[in-house]
Amino acid sequence: MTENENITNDPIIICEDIHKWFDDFHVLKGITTTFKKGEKAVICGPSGSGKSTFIRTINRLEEHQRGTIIVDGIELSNDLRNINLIRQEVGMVFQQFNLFPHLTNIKNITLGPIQVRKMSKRAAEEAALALLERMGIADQAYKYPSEVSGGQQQRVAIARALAMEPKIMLFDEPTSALDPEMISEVLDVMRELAHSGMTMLVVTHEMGFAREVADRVMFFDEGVVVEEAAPADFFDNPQHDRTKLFISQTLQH
Amino acid sequence: MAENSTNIPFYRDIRFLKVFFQILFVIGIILLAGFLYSNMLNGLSRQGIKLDWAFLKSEAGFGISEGIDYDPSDSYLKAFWVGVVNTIRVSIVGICCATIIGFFFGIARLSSNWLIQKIAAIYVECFRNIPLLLQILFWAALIRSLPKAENSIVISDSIILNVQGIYLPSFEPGTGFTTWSWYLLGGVILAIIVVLGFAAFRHFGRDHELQQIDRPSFISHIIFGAKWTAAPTFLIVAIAGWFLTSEPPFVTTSPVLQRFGYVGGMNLSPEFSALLIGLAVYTSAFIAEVVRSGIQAVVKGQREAARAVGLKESQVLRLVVIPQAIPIIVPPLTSQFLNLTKNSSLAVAIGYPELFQVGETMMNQTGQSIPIIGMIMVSYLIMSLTTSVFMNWYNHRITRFGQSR
Amino acid sequence: MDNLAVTQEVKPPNTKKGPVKWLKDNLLNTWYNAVLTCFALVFLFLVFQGVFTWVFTQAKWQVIPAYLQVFLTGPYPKEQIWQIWIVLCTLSVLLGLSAGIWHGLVFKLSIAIASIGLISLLIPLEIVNSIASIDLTFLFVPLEFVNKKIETEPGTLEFNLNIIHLIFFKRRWLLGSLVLLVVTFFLGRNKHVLKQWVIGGWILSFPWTMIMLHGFGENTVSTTNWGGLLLTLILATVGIVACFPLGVLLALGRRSQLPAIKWVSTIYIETVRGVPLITILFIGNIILPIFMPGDFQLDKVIRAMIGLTLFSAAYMAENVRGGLQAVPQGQVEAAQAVGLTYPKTMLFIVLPQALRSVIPAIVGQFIALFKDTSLVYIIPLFDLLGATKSVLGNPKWQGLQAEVYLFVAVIYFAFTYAMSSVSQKIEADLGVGKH
Ligand SMILES: Nc1ncnc2c1ncn2[C@@H]1O[C@H](COP(=O)(O)OP(=O)(O)O)[C@@H](O)[C@H]1O
Ligand SMILES: [Mg+2]
Repeated sequence: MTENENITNDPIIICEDIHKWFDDFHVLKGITTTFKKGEKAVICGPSGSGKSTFIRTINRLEEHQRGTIIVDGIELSNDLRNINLIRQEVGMVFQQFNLFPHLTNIKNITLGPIQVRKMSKRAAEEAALALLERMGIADQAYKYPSEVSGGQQQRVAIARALAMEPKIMLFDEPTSALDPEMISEVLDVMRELAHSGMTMLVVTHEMGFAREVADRVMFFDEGVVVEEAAPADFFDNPQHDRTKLFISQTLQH
Repeated sequence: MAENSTNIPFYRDIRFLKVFFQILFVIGIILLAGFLYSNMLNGLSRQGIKLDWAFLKSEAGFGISEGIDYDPSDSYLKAFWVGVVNTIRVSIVGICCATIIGFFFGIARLSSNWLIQKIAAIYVECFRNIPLLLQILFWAALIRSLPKAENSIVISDSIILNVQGIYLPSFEPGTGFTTWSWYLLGGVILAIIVVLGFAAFRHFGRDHELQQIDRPSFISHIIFGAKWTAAPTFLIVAIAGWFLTSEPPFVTTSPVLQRFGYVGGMNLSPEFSALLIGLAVYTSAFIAEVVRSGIQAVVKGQREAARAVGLKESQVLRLVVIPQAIPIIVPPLTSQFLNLTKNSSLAVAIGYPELFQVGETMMNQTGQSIPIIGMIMVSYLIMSLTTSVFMNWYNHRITRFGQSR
Repeated sequence: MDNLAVTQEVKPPNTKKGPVKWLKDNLLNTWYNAVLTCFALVFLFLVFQGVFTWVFTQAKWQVIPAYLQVFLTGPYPKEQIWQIWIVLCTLSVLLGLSAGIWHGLVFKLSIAIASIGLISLLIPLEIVNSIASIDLTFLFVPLEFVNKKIETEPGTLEFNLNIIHLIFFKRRWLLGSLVLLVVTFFLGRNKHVLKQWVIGGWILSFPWTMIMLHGFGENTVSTTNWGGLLLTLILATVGIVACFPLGVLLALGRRSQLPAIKWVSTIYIETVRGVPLITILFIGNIILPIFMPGDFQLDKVIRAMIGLTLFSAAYMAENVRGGLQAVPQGQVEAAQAVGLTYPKTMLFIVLPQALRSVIPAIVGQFIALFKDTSLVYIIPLFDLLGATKSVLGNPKWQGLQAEVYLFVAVIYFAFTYAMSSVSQKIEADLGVGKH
């Protein structure tokens, strides 16, 4: 495991004692952590443990009800302006891609830059083509999402997020909905992105990817961070029983 | 969050904005309402009408050609009530007819017989694509062009068609009716005793230990028992009572021709007949479609699976297709019933005195158009609301059923 | 080689095709189907016999050509009919261009319309008139036909001149529209850049139609003089077009997270859907004038339009809401993640998908509305159904209800049936899982 050369000491996301309830159901029970600029954090844990909910609070797709989240110096509160600013800084990739089916791939990518960043159509399209090139799917630009494979769709989705030139990227199980043979093409793109110095929070069960890319692995269970450590320590020397059980179960598969 | 959130300028604070937009919206609505209200006051004073409900108590002074007991000297409220009852009357009869005809043609459309299938398709396409009002006018004109009473068209000695409407033999309680109703009452009581006993037996009786985990409730035993014990008990008593009663419980009287037309039996006025035929035929075309698509919606896989288990064609239909089609059919069927009820208001064009027609007469006489339209709307809304409450209850049941599938 | 020989020799087992087989499969496959078929045949025979004798020997169809104009345009003044023709020409141009650009369904549609136009161009109304004044029994008894005196016999010079006169002079507008349709079709085929202009044209065609029909200055035709099929079509179109924005807003309102907006929208929608259209029309006709400020008054047709719009907005809202519900939540989340605001999310992401999925439902609503416009008969207005009133009110034509109502029914049927076929095509075209 190589230490990431891009990681800095500046904190970019500060979470302090985050709580979240769905009605009476306590989903996040006080999460306190800090992510540094350029850091790659992999979040894992059993299904229903609150991983998705946690990363969705960071761009306010879910509202946290207690605690503080500060993203790049902006506090995430009820301030409409702050929410909009943070959403521009934070890109997100979903498990189900969530591409807009009525727009071509390239329009999917340019929508944000044109509508939110007020970029000219031309500049946005050039940038989008460059991104698609980087994702290795420049030839799919003018097709509709339904006309390309799942792996390609997910790469379009990554390009869509990157087009906003975010400082942080959130990935919520980006490969879970993919056929096995398509997983690696998406992971390759993410790996490349990691090397470029992007700050990344990745919910995934791809342990190989975690070992190779992550600076830190966080293990969630029942709404708390049970254990967090560098991947080498995490996988080879887990401290908690729940972590051990989880790792042994995941590696079996 | 605590310290920082106090610093958010209000115009950027989501919580504030949410409340603000709603207040703005409500103010807008209130302003609009106020504007309309002041216009209304002006408008009314211009027309010299004072808005109040007192008119409901005063004498209506107009006749209503059919319906429950009513006299022109009765109040407007009573007149309105006559209209409401007439609406319910034509709606219920219409719903029954439309459902029967609709199911008939819906199933006919799925017939394996090409000719039957096509006839049903033509029926459906014709009658649902022509405006109902036109159909009602057509039937009304047709009945008006029927021969006079002396030359009535008589079908199989009992159904009589003439310009005064349709005459049917009526079916009335006879001398033995009272005796028979005692039998019926006895049947009901017996059925209740039987079902309670049955449920108690099932509930407290056997398999006590086995059922401990997932024991059906007492109520579910009663529901089950109602079908298998109470209903048969009641039927047996009722039928036995029928034969044990010496006098006939019911008599049929056929209409007889007298000097001023037919007398006796059941007379459907020309307006009622035209409205009923129009509503029933029009709605039945829609119901046929509902039935057809409901049955077709049961996926092919289900039929194939049922055949694979070895069921016969009739069993496939009875045990697999229909139970699954019914929950699909019922919601749109109910909304067709509701449509029929609302469409009965078209009677105003041919003069059948239902809710809307009576309301319109009242508006013309009193000028109190606003309260009367309000009463009409509320009446229809109550009918719609009742139906949708039923629908929600039914959908709730269906979803549970759907999950357990 | 052996294999080839075998494949050539082996034929499928004897599968008979042809009418006999078809009869066996579809009409006589079981004994009870055979019985049913017999009954059905007898039934059909009786019905057809009755209908045919009535249609061809008893019915008095003269009333139809005599009042054709009333059925089509109601009391619209004869001298002003050219304004309608200008609208039709405009629509022909747009339709022709669209057919050229998009082919497919639009093309088929315009073929259908063009052929109807062509047929009506070639039907010599004068001959219909003269035929109508005899009666239609000639169809069965050609000899009688010969005996009747007919002013213009086919083949004679006079007849030909009449035809030319008819087509190029009396029907120059119809001819013009048809020519425009064809010409613009070829224009549209070659110039795909026109696309946006044509879409814009369709949008503008709506106000343009209203303005042209109404006219201005000395050519003004007040809406009270609109009638017949023209009025029916206009009411239906206005109803569906004008209710659209209101319906979308109500649908969004009903799904809003803000309780005040949600409740107001819900109450509006449920109230309107819970009462018959005729009450809403009455509200428009009788109550609305009371609520109008001061001396400001709207005429009857406008009030009917308002009533129909308010009514169909509630139904439109429910259709759109159905579409909104079909858009997955992930779409909204993805749009938010990219930073789109609520209005932009709705405008660019949610509504386009929602509306696309409810096009068939909207067409269905249009068909229903087309039929429902007939209720203005009660107010009363002189739409297609209302026209029957003025026809039957004439003592000369009393007792001809059946003929008149049937004729009107056929027109309604032709429109609704055509529209529902189109909507089925659209449904098929939109397909499942298409972008
Ligand atoms: N919108 C919601 N409403 C109610 N409960 C929810 C909602 N979203 C998630 N949950 C619940 O919160 C818990 C955590 O969900 P999630 O964060 O998606 O888990 P993970 O991503 O770790 O599998 C789950 O038990 C889930 O059922
Ligand atoms: Mg998750």
